[in-house]
Amino acid sequence: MKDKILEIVGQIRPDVDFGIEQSLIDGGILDSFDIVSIISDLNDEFDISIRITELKPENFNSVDAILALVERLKA
Amino acid sequence: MEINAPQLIDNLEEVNQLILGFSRKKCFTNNYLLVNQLESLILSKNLYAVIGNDNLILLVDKGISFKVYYHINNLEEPFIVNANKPLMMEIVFKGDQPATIKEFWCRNGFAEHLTRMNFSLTYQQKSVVENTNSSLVIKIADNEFESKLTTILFENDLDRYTGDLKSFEEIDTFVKNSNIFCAYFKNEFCGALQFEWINSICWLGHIAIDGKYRGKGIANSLVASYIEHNKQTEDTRYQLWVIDNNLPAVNLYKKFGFKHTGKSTVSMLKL
Repeated sequence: MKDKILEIVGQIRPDVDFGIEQSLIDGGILDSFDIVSIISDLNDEFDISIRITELKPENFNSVDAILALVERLKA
Repeated sequence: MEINAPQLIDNLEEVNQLILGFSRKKCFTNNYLLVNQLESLILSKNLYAVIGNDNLILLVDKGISFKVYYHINNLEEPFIVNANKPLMMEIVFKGDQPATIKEFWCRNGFAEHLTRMNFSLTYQQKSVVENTNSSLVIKIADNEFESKLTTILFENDLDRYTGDLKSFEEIDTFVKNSNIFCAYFKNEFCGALQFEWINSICWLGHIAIDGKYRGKGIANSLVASYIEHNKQTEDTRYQLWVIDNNLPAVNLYKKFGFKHTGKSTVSMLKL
């Protein structure tokens, strides 16, 4: 699942090293436009529905945080 | 088919349910509002929804117009919005223009307005640009009079729908936070630049030069001051949006080393 998430985010922002970044939102690397694109692809790929209350920096600051969010929603 | 008038949204769960219901597979959306922005809009009673069978739009009251955030699942569903103000939307894209969704909105009464490009720069990528105009003084705005002059200058320069027009109070807050540079040519106020740190990026919000003073290197000096003043490290990041056919501005930013990130927005307007 992590590989698929890396593929999704890498397509949206090929200029970012998602393997190491831990402050994707707080560091200003991803903006709200990027997040909306990522959410749309995550919803489609994993058949989940990300609620707006989950649209918080801590859920998108790293690929591991995104992975945890997806796993939580699929549980 | 006439869609009903916009309905006021008064709680977060209501908009959450709407977005969940209308975010279907392959949905076209430009809705990048985050939870804190939605909460603030609900609190200030500035968030409305127009609900169709398969399509949803959220309207944000911007005073002179509504900004439109859409979730479009059915391109065949007519979606004529009955609002008492102009409607404006921005569609973010990379590469080719988003033809399908633009055509949908054109069929529903919108017209293409303008395209803006996202430019970025890190300090270490900056090109050195010489400033040789000795009649020019650039300073951080620090008083109410400069707030007033900047407000008037921006009002006369900004696109009224996409330019995110700022009130005097907003400009004065930027001045109090030392977020505005102003330019004086032979002691006459002639230009201003507003910037803002968002997360760890220093955004150039707006720059305007009085028409009488164009061609004297004033924008050049304002941008140079904005870059140097905000430098924290060699990796300091700067970003801005520029209208694609404003070639003097595009060329100015390129001269400093700014590059198009590949991201653009096209705005659509229904008067």
